[in-house]
Amino acid sequence: MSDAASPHTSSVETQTARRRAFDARLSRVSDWLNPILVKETRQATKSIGFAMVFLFFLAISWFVLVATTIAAGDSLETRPWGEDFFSWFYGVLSFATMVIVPFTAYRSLLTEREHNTYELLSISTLKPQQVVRGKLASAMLQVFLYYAAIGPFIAFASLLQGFNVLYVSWALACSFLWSLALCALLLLISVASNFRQWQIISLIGSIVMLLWGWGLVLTMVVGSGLEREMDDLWFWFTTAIVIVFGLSYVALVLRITTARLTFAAGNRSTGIRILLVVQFWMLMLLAIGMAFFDPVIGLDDEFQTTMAVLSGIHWSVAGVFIGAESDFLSRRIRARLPKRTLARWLIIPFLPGGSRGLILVLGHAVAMVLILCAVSVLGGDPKGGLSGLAMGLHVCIWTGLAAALTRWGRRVSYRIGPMHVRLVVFLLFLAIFIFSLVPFMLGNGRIQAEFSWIYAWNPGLMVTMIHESRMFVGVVVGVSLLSSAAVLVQAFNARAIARGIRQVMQDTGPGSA
Amino acid sequence: MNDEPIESGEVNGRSATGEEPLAAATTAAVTGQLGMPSIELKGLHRFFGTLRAVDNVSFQAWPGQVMGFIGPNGAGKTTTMRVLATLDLPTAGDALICGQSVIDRPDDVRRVLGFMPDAFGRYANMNVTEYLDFFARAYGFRGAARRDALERVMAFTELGPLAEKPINTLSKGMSQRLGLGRTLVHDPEVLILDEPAAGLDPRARVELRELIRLLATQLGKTVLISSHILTELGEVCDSVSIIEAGKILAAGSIEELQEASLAAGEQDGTGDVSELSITLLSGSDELETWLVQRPYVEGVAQAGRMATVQFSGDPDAQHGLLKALIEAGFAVVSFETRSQTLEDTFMRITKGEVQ
Repeated sequence: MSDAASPHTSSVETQTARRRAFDARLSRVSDWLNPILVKETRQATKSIGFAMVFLFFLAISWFVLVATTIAAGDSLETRPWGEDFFSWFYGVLSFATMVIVPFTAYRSLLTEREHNTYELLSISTLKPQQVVRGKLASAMLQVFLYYAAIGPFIAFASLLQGFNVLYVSWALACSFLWSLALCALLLLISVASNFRQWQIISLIGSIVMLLWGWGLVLTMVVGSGLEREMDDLWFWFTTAIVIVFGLSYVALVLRITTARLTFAAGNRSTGIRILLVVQFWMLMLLAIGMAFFDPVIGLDDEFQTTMAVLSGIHWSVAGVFIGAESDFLSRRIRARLPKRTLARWLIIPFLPGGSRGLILVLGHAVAMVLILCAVSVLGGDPKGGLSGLAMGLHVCIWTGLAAALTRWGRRVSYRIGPMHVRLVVFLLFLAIFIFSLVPFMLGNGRIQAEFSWIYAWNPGLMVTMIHESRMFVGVVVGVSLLSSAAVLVQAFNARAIARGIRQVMQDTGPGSA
Repeated sequence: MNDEPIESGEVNGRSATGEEPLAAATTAAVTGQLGMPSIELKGLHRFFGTLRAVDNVSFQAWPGQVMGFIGPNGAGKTTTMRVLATLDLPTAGDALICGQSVIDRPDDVRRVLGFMPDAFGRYANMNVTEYLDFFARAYGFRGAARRDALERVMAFTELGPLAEKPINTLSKGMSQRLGLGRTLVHDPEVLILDEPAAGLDPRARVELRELIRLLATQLGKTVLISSHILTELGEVCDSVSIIEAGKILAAGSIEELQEASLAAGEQDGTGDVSELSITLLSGSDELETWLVQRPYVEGVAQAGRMATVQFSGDPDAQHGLLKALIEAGFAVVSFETRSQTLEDTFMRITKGEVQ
């Protein structure tokens, strides 16, 4: 009996020992992984919801394979079915990776806050960026799983005629990055506000946005004829530019999400400001680089205007958020101020506070105007530089307005917070934008020959006016109006800026008042 | 009830100023070695607009001490605890945990602090081991250190038999044990427990109380614990701080508070009345009539063999009453003064103010 049982027992023991060794190895590896990733993976392996969705995904893929194969019949070997098969599989894959996974990421972080588990995380030694990265990594692991699952189906499609390997690889790589961007964005939306109303709005808005985005991507990737552009070097250059800028925005979004989860006494601003500056200089480098390496495009006023508009939007949006920050410097931040005077001067624009943020934004608005003016002088056409000037003035006005309104709001009531001010500034801009379009619309969709002072307040119309040579006087008046408004608004902020600088330069440490 | 609250300066002057530590009997040795309170609140304020949720709160707790933090609903207990746990920022003042400011060094505070909120969330699709393992990882434990931490916590909380049980199927008592386990996973020096006994059955409450006592006496942890069940706190705490409407009304050892509240009662004419409980061998119709005629007797309530007497005399007078009872022929089985409980002290000190 014992002789007979021994080999069996020994086999079981060997299996158990192997399993233990495997578990131990897995445990050692997991020690180096983000704890959130480990937790979420464990949860997912036990989650009925995840298993159901994944099985449904596989079932649909199988159904598409079988149904299309039956529909193709004998023509499967003679006609280019590869593209059609890929389109179907891509539809299934993109729905999973661009709708389901980002929404899961959104719910995951939202649930942590709703169920009070985020508090338990935040009192551990996990940093907010680890939490955000862990959530993102877990979402991307799911995306990777869906990619792995669809792999055999796409491999089947690749055996058919009409399957463009290069295009499919491009589409899958770009889609992966798009999923990453969507997950990052949805994580930000989930922490944007604690208000219940916002959570309901964001839930509905997120679903609508994801479905709309999915449809948009499908129309771009499937049947848009993009594969015909792949022989052009510009296609790859544009792809590279879009990916680089896209990733910089993913980094920015993650940084903002981290800031939202950071302890109130911590520094929530500096990281964001550094990223904003990096993005701006990437754009300016593109403008300068194009002027030297491809003057036909780089010195063209349309290209420069595009750069001006993009930079203007970048700093206006960033400026309204930065300008509305409280000037209060926590003891924790003050304790880490550099001791050297020069270092303090240099760090001022990057330290939290609306008044110090104004220095950063205004400084970069000036840099933008100077660079675009220089590039437009090189091209012999001032329109690009003038567009830069107009956008720079708009940046000064809207950012300065946000900062001034924030200080005024705080004096009126403690209930008026930065988000209220940002909303008011946005609504004001929107009202002026719409109002300024009235004379434009009365002119049957063409800018009227006569200058209307209201055009200057709409950045789009101001730029259009600059490009209408017959409206030179209007441009001069418009620039004068905007300059006066910018000076006036910033005059309201001058004392606050000076105070913001003094706060840093005269600080003697956390013990001081 | 006394109209005037006992000022923290009067009762807990020593704790507020730090001149003389509280609960010296239990903590002197450790305190003497470390020379620094584990928890120190210095003029802590937390305002929400015009609401003064925490208003100039100061107290200290020392290593090995279990401090009760009591007050009515909305008194500011949870807000204070959240500030200590680095989940909220004070409007003014500071709080130090093991000498580290919760404002300046929250990361350092988190390493030495374990916080158990009144309602803590549970993760779906996780068992007890995975839950604790996750938090061990979150505190940076790796490899053998993580396994050791899990074993230590499992052994202390006796959660071993439930190791593989999904956490959303745990009873309330076991959930609280798990919460305590999570709080202990990184072996913190200071524990802040917000209403840990809420919703527990009597057995679970006793078990939790024993665990808390063990934490302080055997492991030298400092425990700040809030609870509405004052009898529980009275048995587990070395000292208490009573907070109402954001202000500390009294702080000190339980004995000190009882003395102070009696002293305060004497000032307003209520503190000199104690309650005597007299039990006879058999019922007597004459007892109540006899008692009301005695000096210092303010009131009598008789039920069968037992009589409860409101008595304003000192111990000598009590002795005189007992002697007179026996001499009058009453078959006295027991004669005892009901001691003042923490609940009595709490009711005397607080006024039921809600913000």
